[in-house]
Amino acid sequence: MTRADRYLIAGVLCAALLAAVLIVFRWQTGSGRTCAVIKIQGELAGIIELSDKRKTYEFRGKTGPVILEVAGKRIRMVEATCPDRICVMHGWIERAGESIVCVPNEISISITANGSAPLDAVTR
Amino acid sequence: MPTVRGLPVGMKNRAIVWLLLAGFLAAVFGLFLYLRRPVEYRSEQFLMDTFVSIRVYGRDREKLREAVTAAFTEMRRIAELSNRFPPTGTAEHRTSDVCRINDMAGVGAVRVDQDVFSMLESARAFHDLTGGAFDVTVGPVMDLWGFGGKKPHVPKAGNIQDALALVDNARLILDRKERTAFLEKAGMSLDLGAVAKGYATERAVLALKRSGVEKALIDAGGNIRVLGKSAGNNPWRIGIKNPSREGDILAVLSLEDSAAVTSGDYYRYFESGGIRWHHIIDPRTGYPARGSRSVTVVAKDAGPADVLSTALFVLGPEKALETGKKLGVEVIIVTADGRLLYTLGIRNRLEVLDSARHRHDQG
Repeated sequence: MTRADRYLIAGVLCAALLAAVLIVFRWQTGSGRTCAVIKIQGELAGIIELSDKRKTYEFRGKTGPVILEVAGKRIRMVEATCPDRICVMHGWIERAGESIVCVPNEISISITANGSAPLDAVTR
Repeated sequence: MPTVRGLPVGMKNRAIVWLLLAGFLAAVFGLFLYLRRPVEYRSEQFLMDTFVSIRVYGRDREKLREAVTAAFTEMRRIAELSNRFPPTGTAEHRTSDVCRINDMAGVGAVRVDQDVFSMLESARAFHDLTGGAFDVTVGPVMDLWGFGGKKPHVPKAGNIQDALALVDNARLILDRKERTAFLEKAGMSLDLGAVAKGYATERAVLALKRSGVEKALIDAGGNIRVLGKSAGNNPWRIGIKNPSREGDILAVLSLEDSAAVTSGDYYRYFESGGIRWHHIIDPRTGYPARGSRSVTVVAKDAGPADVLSTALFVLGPEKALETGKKLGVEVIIVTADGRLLYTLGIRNRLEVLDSARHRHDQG
């Protein structure tokens, strides 16, 4: 091991430590329900609770309308006007951290991690 | 002299020392931030027919726990004073000022707790401000519909007219000096359903503040009151339920130190003859108010927000916006025909989601 390696290791360790601390610090609270967050061209476009009942949602993407379907606590893209339809082929997502991205439409659907719901509460 | 990347050994050692020192300082700073991170304490209780959850943030968990306990004690006290449903003869019935006032309708004045008196005075003020769209003497009509207990049903028109004859705010006599309340006519009855939750929430906030809490969120069955900013020092993000779809959010509010209360036709209702009969009764007609599907009121204080969400629902969308503006509160309305209306003062704190604009219902 050369001194340059030690240099590198020390640097990486410090960066890792800092990252770990930042992650712990950036804690958030949540309502506990699993939600999908829909973003279109970087803007928040929808927050959908993943319920058991089948429901569809229509959004307007860059190339045209897209249709999302929620059922059995999962969500998928059922229809999109993009040429490659990679997003539709992706199928269902259900676990925190999973996401579907439709590049031509600039839409992303991501499932929020447990305990980091996008909302603090809901007035109803 | 062995060198790495052209640096002499002495200089390189010094660089490593500096780097390690910087890393160490970063770690200490990180640890400091970690220890300063606010602690969360949350607790839930079933109160006033709903789940009330209180979340507080601070440094000392034990202090937070005590603060929340004090807040719940205060809320429960208000709940017990204003509960109108416990059966006659029970201890709950005797501790309820509302039951005592109702029992003495047409008989005599009843001395009440200061908080009950305050609720009644505030209810009177809102009755006058909304031209009678809000009335705590609506009890006989509510009983007739059976919301809030027995099996709800559509009453006969004649029965509604009879019950309406007993709804009259002018015949609720409040005596500030004696701190008494008197329903002049036998059969009259008070319903503090749209007052007590907001009032109790505000009492809870006061209890939290007294215990030194600076960040809190109280969720009383969807009536939201936030104190300070969220744990991450941002405004709290409060979703507004989409009245047409379960589990869907219509818009997001960014709030600090304020209350957001919603009245909707989806909360307590039954269906009969293809019509949805919900529990927000217009005290002037005796029937569920039409025109709005949900009304959200954002105000500094949960008390007025609670009363006004009901009163403005009854008034219908146009008058609701007008009255909201006049009273200096923000209003967000979903009309019966699905339009989203809001007062201009809220637009910088309101993020309307696309899902609200492009709906695609398939049941």
